[in-house]
Amino acid sequence: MVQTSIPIYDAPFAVAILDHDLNFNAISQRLAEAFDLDDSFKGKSFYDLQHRLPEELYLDLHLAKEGISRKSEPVKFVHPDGEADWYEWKINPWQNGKEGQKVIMLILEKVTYRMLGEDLHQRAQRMARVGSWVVDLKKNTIYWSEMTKEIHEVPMDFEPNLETGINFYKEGFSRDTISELVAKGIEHGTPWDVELILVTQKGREIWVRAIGEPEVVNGKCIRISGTFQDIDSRKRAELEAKKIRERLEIATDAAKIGIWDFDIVNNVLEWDDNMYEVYGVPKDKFNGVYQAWEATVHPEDQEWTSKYVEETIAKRDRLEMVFRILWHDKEIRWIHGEASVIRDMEGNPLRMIGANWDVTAQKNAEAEMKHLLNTTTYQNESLMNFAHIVSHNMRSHGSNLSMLTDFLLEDRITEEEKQNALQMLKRAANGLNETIAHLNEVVQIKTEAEQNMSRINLHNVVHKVSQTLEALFEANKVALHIDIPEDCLVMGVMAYVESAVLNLMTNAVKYRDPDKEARITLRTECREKRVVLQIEDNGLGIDMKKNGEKLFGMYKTFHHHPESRGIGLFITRNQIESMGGTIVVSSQPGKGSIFSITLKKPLPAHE
Amino acid sequence: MNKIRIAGIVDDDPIVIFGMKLMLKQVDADLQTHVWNNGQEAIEGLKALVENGKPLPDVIFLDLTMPIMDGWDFLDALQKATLPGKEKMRIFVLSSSINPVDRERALENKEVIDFIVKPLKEARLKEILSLAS
Repeated sequence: MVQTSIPIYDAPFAVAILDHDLNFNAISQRLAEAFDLDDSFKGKSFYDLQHRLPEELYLDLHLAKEGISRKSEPVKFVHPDGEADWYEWKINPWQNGKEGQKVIMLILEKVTYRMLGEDLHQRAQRMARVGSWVVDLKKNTIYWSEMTKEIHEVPMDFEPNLETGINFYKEGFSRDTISELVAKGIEHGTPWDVELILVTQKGREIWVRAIGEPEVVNGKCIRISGTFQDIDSRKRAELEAKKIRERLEIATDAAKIGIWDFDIVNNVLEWDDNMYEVYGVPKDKFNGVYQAWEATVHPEDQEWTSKYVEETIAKRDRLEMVFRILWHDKEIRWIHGEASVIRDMEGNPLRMIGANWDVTAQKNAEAEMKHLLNTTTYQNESLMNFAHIVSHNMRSHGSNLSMLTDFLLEDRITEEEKQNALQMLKRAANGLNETIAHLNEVVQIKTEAEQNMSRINLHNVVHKVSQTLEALFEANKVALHIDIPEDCLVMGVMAYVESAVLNLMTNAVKYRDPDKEARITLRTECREKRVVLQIEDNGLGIDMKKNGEKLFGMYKTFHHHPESRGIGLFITRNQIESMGGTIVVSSQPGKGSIFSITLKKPLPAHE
Repeated sequence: MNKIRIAGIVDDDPIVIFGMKLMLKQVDADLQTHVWNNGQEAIEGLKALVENGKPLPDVIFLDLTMPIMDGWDFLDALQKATLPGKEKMRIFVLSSSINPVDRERALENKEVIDFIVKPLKEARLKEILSLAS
């Protein structure tokens, strides 16, 4: 029987005493716990645990039976479920006394946790590409870890010294820096942590982070140890980002693009330097809240821009708008703004980042272009009208003259016909004369208008014109109503305004409805920058569908109807437009017409 | 084809009307003429002829620029009007316009035989009347 002369059960490690056939004799509590063995273990075979332990252990146990001691490295065992454990053991064959039974002492430790920790550490170092090194200043030796060698791209049997170590740094800034740091480290024990460029054995330039920790004993540096990390990809990305950031800064500065960042949650609005310039707001006058921006926006644009910003924060992710601001609180400038909303995982808005730039110049150019286009279109139209007069109206008189003279010269006509032809000839000649006079008038409108603009009292003009027409109104029993304030001022050329009013009032009398009592009403309507003068009659009216477009053109002109609206309306329109005004008509046949002339108000006098 | 017996003048210019009538008389003293001062008068006049069982003109001289209903409107209205025998009428546009656009536009109407720039010369008138006869 086994003598348990050693109190194995209480041993502070996992140990088992096995007989020659590898049956349990005794075990320590630690081992029993590790393998869930109860009291019935005695006499059982160690082979029962074979499915839970590495094969190498059993091989070593067989060797022990031959009297060979073994000590193992940690050995990995992979369980059927894929989990792994590491074991370390020590086996001693042992004889119980001289005559005693041969037994085997097995110390078996599960080292899984230690191994996992070491494994992770190594893996982390490998992944982070961290190498280590030690310089022993007493022995004057230098040690590089495998990773350090890998980073330097030297073979594993490479033997560095302090000088070759330093010479791997790129000549210039990097090498100078490390030399100085090492010297300081040796002299004063100052540690370092720097990012420098290394040139590897293969000639590749890479960024490394070098950390050195000198050890000082009795005021003398005896050893420096440190780590060495390949940070090339990170550093290059960082440098690239920095380069892009700098480029962006140069670009935004040059283009005067302001960048802002609005913390929606805390209502903090941050502006970069360009923003202050774009908005003409001094830095110390800006209190960095949303409302501060709002206050710079032109009053007429405040409502819609705020609404748009709110909507973007609530529903959209992108914002793009052009609005006006009051630059330095006075000058109107146009701003183009673009922004993006940043949200959390739940979609709640966190921040808004955007850019603003001044587009006043473009806006002005655009307006100028529109104005030019309008002018060109208008001038083109005028030219067409001119071409029409020349090709049609002048020609019609010319062809009449030619036809009549043919008759007169041929002398085949009767005396009565001859007299008629002569009458006609006179009419044609007069017509031609009149046409040329009108043409002259049309040409002059263009050149004269701009110089002769002045403030005109519409009330006075209308009363003056109606006085000159008094006889006409009386003869045709026209009731005249004038409702114009005494101080109604417009900008215009006196002669044109008078002529327009005269022409429209005369027309209203001409085209009265003989079956009705004629009534003409003149009234004004004041807008913000303009005054509308309406001349309303209850006359025959105009079929707008048929004639609306032609009404102010020259298509209906120079016909030999004594009462044609013809050239009169064309000239009136030209005169009004040359003063920057407009004339429109609304009418219904049988009901009457309303002509509306819109003219500019004088600018308020400067104080 | 039948001899031209009836001509229509659609023009608002009394001088043109005077001249045309005179010229037509000189070329063919037997020719009957209708004068209408604008497109609307012409359409109404043509309708009245049909209603009263009278023959339509064989040839029409049509001015383009007229008040109330111009030559273009007249051509449109004529197309829509139910006038038996209207396709036999030969329409000559007689205008003082020398704008090629007007000429093209006029000739797009299949009823329009030709576009004549005023004044109409006697030789051309004779040609028209003989061609149509």
